[in-house]
Amino acid sequence: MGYITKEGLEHLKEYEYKSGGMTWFDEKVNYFWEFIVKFMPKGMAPNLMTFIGWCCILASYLNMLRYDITFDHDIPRWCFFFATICIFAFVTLDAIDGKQARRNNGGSPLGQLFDHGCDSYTMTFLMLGICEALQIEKNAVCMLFITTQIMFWTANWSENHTGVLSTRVGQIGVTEGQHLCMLVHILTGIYGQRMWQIKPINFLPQQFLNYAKSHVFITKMLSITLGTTLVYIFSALVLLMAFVMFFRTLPQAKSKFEAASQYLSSMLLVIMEIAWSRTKLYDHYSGLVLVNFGFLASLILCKLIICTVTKVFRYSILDESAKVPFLTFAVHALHNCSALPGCRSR
Amino acid sequence: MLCTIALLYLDAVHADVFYMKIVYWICFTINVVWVFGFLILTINQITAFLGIKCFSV
Repeated sequence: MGYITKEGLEHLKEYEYKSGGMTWFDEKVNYFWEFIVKFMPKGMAPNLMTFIGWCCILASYLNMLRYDITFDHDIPRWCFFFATICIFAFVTLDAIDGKQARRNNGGSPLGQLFDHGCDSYTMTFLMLGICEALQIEKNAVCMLFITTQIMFWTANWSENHTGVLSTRVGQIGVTEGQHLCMLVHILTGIYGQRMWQIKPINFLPQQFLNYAKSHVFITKMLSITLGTTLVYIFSALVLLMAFVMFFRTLPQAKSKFEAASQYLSSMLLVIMEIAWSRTKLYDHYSGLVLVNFGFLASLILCKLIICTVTKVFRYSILDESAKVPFLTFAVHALHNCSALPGCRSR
Repeated sequence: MLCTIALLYLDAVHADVFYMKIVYWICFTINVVWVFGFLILTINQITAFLGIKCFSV
């Protein structure tokens, strides 16, 4: 007994992947991908290529995890060069698996599930790798993790309602993000993690600092590190892109209420992540806690992809909406725990 | 969800990280079994229906 209904299985054969187009950078890198795919054995299954790419990313993060699980320890520089090679292998394999499928007429809805399912698992490890390189504060790690999950979720949710998987907003897309990750790892490999610990406050004129002293918010903003600043900017951009995609998709949905409730119910996981990130456990095992949530987010996303390829509106989070009362309790407990006996104030 | 509540409770009562770790690993194990179980079942279902193989052409 599987997750897909009989009706859904019938729809599987009708599924056709529609790309949301390429960015300027995609078009340039595409020449390389077209060239590389010719060297792949024709009998090699595209899903196998996707899986190898996934293993590369997993290996790069597990390698870092050996040295640090809390984002505040130093990691040997070679790990970042190794991570760059792994990400490059993943990006290339991820880009050519579709081309390989068309090359040997092996495209199927399973490929769509496998490709994007693996991508969602990969994203978790990719983001955690970046956080290790930037050695950013734990709140920023959580924020980066959540915003990228929201973006990924929004893109797949959009495909569910429009039939087109958009991997970009304007001229910025997934490929740019992946290459940015590679750049961060290369720079960290060359200059070390300390490079991202520079604080803007050290480079500002004394006059401005005297003015900033009287404004707590400005002083706080200036005393955060370069890595954390970049993550905040990146997260804000990603969130903005997700909102743009959300408001473009919603008017195209058949049932706006269903689409909106489907979208918002995924926020349950986000709230749970925030709840976990405020515990003592997160301070000690932040990497492992986020890996756990990465698994959950990917599971939910895989279920959404299945809904898309089978054209059946059967949505897991809504199935699990009975959890909402528990969530309310959890959020309530979180905000009032300072009132509980023996509890520390936050 | 139950693990989240358990964890929040343990955090609220100042419990040792050791007990939180137990909650975490229980949650993690359930999730991994749940995720891989779901994926294997679904992939089998699709491959059986379409008559294709996942890792070979």
